[in-house]
Amino acid sequence: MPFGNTHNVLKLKYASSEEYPDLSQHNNHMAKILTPAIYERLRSKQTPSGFTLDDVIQTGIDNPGHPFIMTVGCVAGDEETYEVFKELLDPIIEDRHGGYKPTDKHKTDLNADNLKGGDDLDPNYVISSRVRTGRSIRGFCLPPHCSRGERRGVEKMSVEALDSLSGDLKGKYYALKNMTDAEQQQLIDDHFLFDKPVSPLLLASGMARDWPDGRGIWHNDTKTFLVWVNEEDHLRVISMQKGGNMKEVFNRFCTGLTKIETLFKDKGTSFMWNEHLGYVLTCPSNLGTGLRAGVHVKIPNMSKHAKFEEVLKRLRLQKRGTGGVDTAAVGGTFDISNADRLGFSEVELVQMVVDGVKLLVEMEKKLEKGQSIDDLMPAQK
Amino acid sequence: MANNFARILSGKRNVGIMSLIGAGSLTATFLLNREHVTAGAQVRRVYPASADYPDLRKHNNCMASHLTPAIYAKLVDKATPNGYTLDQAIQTGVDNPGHPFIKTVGMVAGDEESYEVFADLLDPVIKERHNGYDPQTMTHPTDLDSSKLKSGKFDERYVLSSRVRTGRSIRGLSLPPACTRAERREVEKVVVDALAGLKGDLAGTYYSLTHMTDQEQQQLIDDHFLFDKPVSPLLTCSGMARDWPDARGIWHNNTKTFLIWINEEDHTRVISMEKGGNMKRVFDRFCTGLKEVERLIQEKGWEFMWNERLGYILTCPSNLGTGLRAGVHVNLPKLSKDPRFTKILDNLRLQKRGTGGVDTAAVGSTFDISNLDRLGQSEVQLVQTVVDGVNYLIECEKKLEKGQDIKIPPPVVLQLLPILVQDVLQPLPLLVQDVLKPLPLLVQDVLKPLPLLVQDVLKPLPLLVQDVLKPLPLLVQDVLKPLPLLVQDVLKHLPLLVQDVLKPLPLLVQDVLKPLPLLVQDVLKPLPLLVQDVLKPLPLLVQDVLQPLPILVQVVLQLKVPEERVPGQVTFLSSSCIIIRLSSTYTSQSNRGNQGPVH
Repeated sequence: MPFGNTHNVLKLKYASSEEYPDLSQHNNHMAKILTPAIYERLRSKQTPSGFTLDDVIQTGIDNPGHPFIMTVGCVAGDEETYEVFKELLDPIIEDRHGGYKPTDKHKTDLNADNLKGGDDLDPNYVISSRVRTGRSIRGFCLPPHCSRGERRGVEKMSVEALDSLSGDLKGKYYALKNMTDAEQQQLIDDHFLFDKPVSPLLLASGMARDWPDGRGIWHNDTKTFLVWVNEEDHLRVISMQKGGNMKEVFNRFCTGLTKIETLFKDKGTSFMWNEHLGYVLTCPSNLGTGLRAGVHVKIPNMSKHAKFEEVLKRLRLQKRGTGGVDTAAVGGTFDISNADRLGFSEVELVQMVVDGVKLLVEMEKKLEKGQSIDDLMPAQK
Repeated sequence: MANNFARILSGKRNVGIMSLIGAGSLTATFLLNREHVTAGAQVRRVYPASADYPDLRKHNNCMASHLTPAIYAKLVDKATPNGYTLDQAIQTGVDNPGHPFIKTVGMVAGDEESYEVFADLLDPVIKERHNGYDPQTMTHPTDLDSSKLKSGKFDERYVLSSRVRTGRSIRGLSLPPACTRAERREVEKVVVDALAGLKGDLAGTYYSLTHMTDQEQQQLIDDHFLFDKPVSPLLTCSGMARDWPDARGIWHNNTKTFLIWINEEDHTRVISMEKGGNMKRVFDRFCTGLKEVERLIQEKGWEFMWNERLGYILTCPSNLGTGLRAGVHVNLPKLSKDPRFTKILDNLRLQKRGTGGVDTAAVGSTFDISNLDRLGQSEVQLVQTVVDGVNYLIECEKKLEKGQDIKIPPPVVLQLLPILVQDVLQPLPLLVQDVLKPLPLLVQDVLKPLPLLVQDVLKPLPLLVQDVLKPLPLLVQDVLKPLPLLVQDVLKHLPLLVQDVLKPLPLLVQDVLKPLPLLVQDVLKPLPLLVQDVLKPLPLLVQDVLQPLPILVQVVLQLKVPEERVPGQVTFLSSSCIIIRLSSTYTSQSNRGNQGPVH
């Protein structure tokens, strides 16, 4: 319970209308859905670990949002949050994930062989390829809510599992609070190091408490498989390499993840997962696969084209700057990745990226030659 | 009143009941005493305390200095009646390790009871932050009688503006780190209602942060009144910025000299300010305004959080006591470049800041100079410290302008003495002071023929004390004049041992006096009586001599100097000195009375 007001049973003596937040200036999913009636019904509830409604929505209250960008505005503190606060979270999930209904089932597919192609993206345009997801360890509270002891427990268990990886996955863990200056500089140069979050979207949820206690970075010796421990989620798993061989990246991704999952099962625990929501993570926007597969691709002409946004929309892709979310593109190089997380399997999403990026590169080449791309316009996926 | 009944029925706190029947704050204090505060909601704990104990190895703040694993284990399962926990109180200190040079407090209170429930941690933090103030044994003086302020008008060629601020919390509602939205809105309502009752030059308007127009906002910015959502992680990590800007606002009077911030870092921050150097008027308005606001909220059944031990209760332990920061913007181009500037400020118990407030740099040579202390000194004392100090700084600046040299002033005495010594020094018989003042050589000569006993009494005292007594004439004159200050100045030169020994004075006196004859021990023990009792073993004669001495001195001064010296009689050679006869009987003409035993 990050905030002092949330375990205040005495606050229930105040009428719900007196406690209901002022969301008149707000534009996020939570503010759209949270009516006074829902607030009244949910405010006396809490998960078995003590996470309350105010804990869930605090980040959305403190960050009214942006007229153009629709953030989620709430977080989960544990696996049960999605059950106890269904009444709020189901409509938010539906809104955020393209109409995903409370009765829908999510398909998990981590069989990299099912991916078609993906090994031939033109390296003259595709500078790097990357797949990331997150995993939560069942039985522990999530970053907004965990105690220091729990966070250290997550770290310990994760490091034990990662240390037993072998072959091209063999690697080393660097705890944020113990790393030497030399190690830190190396991780910065490799673009691996993550810092204490500065975004108020994250800070307001309480996930940055006690920084850098219990946080760290693990990566394999070849620097192609990387795990963040206790940043926004228990684990963020990243597979990456230079060039356009997304197939190889995805192969390693699936192998690594499956191995780690097996290791956890051997220790008597597992990842948070269920049939309806897939893999459970802190932010409702990362449910399902939690997967973002993307490339850094040079498309200066395409990006200036009037139909660029439309193409992306049809391909179910999104663009970001090369610094990650909330950054701007540099010199016509964009981060292009799947827009969806839930309702499609991992293979399906990576397939969309592979096919979509291939098409974008084709369009770029045509535009370079001064040709039209109208005949290449895709259908809505 | 509906409010009171509702609060009692809600069972929030016993204080509600006691205020209703008018038992007053002393009883409230009693009820808030540690033993009476029961734990609140069950604290969810999955791991043993040792697994949750924070890693404070790289930390430099008061919380980290005092939060041992043992104290953590003792307190981590506790919660205040509102459900506020230790982990929440210390979160800001865990998240902000601090700076090697600046030691922050590193923890906050979520409600009034935090100071009781977490006293095992907060008391040592308070002691460290507030110069040794011990909440368990000391009381904090509250004094808002601004008429006591002396020389509160500064030279306006140097002082550009004057300002006094403090904070007040509304009893019965949680503090900003912990309050719910409804509680915060209630604070706003209670305070705004009260402020609406202010009249005359205090009448004003409230501007809610959520509802202000662009024009109002611009005006408040131009007036330098507007406060923004805090960005400092020291503040945001405590949770006080939640739900911004809900229920936050600014009230100010029409003349823009009295300003109140609502629900920023505290329930209220009260600020009195003016351009120029009339600190007296600023402080007058400050006190009047505060008392009026208090009266107005009491009419509706509310009161401020206050108790005898900690004074006014605020969110940050650094603001306990008076919560008062009185300061000026003062231009000191020459002094600020003098290498002794910092030491001078230290000795005057002042701190400098840039004119943008805490953590800003000075612009040009204009500084924000204000009091360092908050707790253990009253409002009047602190503002007087600022007045005296700033006047001294201006004098220094003027001297430097003329090419004269300046002096580092002696350190201002902190009156944080244990009550016994305070009470002892305060009512020292004016007689003794007046008596001893014009008696330079007398004391020396009086003591010389004192019986060996007294000398033996003095022998085991640190040689320094003897050395102090040796050049007594000048010392007595200069040193005893402002007697409290003197004792401290004298004590300053004593070996640390003597200082530390004198601190818990009763015990000290016992220890120091152990090897002394029991007689002297008993005599010196109750220090108020010290002077009288020290004189006890002296010949009754001396006592008798000294008691009516003023009259005697006056009388004697009218007499002629006798020709011959009589044993036992003390005569001074200089005509400006005074003749004393060790005689128990006198008439204005007698000069050969009995001498009585001179021990």
